[in-house]
Amino acid sequence: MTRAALCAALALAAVALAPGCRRESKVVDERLLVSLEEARAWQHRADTHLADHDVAGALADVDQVLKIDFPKNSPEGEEARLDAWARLAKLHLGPTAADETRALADVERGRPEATRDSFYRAHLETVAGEILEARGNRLAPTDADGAKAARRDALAAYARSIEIDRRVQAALLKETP
Amino acid sequence: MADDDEAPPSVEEQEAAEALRRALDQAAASDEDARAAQLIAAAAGRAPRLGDVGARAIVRRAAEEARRRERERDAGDPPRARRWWVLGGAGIFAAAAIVLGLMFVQPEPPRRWRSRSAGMLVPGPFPKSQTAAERLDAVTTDRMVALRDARLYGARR
Repeated sequence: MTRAALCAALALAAVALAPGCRRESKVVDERLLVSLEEARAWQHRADTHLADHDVAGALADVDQVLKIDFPKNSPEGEEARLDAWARLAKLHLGPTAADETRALADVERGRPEATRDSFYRAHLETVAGEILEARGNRLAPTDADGAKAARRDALAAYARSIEIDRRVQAALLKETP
Repeated sequence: MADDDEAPPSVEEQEAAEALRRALDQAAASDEDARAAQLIAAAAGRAPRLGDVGARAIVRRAAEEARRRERERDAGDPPRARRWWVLGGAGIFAAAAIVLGLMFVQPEPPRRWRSRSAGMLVPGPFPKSQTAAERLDAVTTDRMVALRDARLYGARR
């Protein structure tokens, strides 16, 4: 009797847990749409400010994207944030070493938010490469060794970006029927 | 002197008979003499009245035997009919669990309705001319369609 009851309980548990195991992610809902719409509007505002060469205004707009409360664990939210960090870094990038440091700090803050490979994660590494390349160009006339080191770091960042892109493309090709 | 069956019992015979009667009433079952006497008396159609001790011993033995048989039955395999009841009950229970599960499990929604990575909507590496706003345009539009479809067709499923 005990064995039969155990079998029945296991069957019940399997049926109850099956949907939870199968479901990969939630269906798109209004909350996700609202947050994406808000992010989209802030990024368009940044474009408009940049059209008027208002970098400070654009920075403030992109900063607002990072304050949006995206649904927890939503890939769209994660990617919108990674894109915002990358854009913030590019906007901070200027002619001075301090600008480069600030831009690289944005990249460093964005990196831990990537929980999976995506084109956005690769883009963040590309931006890191651009910042380091700019540092190499700035240092080249006065500090050859420093410039060389910066370029080596830039090459490593670009290589990471390429690797991520390849992995994402391979995964997407597998999904395509 | 020849034995005379018709002669009245002597005092010694009466005392022996009395001793035998007491033995029949009080003797334990292991007492061989008493048991032999019981058999003789029963053969002569004069079975003695069963004493309290003897009766209790019989009842105790019968009860112990019944308990022993019950223990043996519980320890061994259940009878076939009982086993079928158990198996049948378990099967019905499992089937009911599956039916209930199927009633409450919703079908898996299509992937295009679900929250997911942008993937090939904005294939990388991103071109220099493409802005973050343009990428969000593509993703937001796609998710709007997904939400509309999920609301429209999902409700009918």
